[in-house]
Amino acid sequence: MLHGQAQQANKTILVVEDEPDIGSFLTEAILQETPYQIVLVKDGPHALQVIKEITPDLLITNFRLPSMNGIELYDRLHAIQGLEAVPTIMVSARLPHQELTHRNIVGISKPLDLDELLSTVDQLLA
Amino acid sequence: MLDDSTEQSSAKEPSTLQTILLVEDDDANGALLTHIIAQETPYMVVHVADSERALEVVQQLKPTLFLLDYRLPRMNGIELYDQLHALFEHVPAIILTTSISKHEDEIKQRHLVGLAKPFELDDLLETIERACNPPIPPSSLREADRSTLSPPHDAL
Repeated sequence: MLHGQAQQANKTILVVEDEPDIGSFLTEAILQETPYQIVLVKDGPHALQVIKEITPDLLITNFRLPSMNGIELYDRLHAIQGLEAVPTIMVSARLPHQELTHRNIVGISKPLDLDELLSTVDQLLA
Repeated sequence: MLDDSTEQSSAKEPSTLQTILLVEDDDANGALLTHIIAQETPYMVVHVADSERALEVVQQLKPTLFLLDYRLPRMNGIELYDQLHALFEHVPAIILTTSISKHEDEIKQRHLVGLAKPFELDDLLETIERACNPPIPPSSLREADRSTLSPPHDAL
C-alpha cells in the first residue's frame, strides 16, 4: 500500500459522487492505494441513509450534487449525534471557500489531482 | 482540519500516481482494457465511451495519459486529442487504430504514439509504460543530478 498504515484498514470513507465513472474511479483508487474501506453513494439522501448503518471516519463529497449540495449534506450529517467530528473533504471546480473555512472543511479543486486527494485523505485519517 | 500547511504541502508534491483516460466506445473492449491495465500496471484507469464524456471527465480528474480509440462516434480519436491537448498540453496520448498507415500522418504531426489493432497485450503495456515514463534526456538533467549519477572515478 502506498498510503496509510495497515492498522488503519478498519477506517471507512463515505464518498458522495453522482457521476458513476468518477465514483468508480475514486473507489478503485482508494481501495488500491490506501488501507481504507469505502462506501460510495450517488447523492446526499443516500449518504444520510447509509450513515444510519455505518459510521464513516471521513466524508468525501462533491459540492455540486442533485437533491442537496455538499454543504447542506455536511450540515445535516454533522448535526447527527456522534458524527459532529467527522472530517470532510469537499471537491468542486468552484469551491465555496467561505463556507468551507467556516466549517473547517478541506477543499480540493477539480480537476482532481489523485496524489493530492490521497495525501489529504491520509493526513485526515492518520 | 482546514490547515494551511496541509494544503501547501499537498500542492507542492509532484504527481506520482498515473491516471489513464481510456476512450473506447466498445464496452467489452473498454472493460477488458481497463481490467488488464489495472491488473498489470500500477496505473489507474477511467473508461468512458465517447468524446463528449471524455471532455466532461477531464473537468473532474487530471489525467496523465490519454488512451484513445481512433473510431469513436461523432468525433474521432484525433479530433478528440486536439480538444484534450488544448486543455492539457503536456499529457501524452496513444491512438489505437486498425488502420495505422492510413492515419500515420496525423499521428506523426502531433507526435502521438499509434498502436495498431489488433495488438499484443505486451505491446500495449510496453507502449503505456513508455508513455507514462519517458526516458529523461541527458541534456535535461540538472548538474547536481549528473554529479550524483556519475561514477566516483569521473572526478579523477
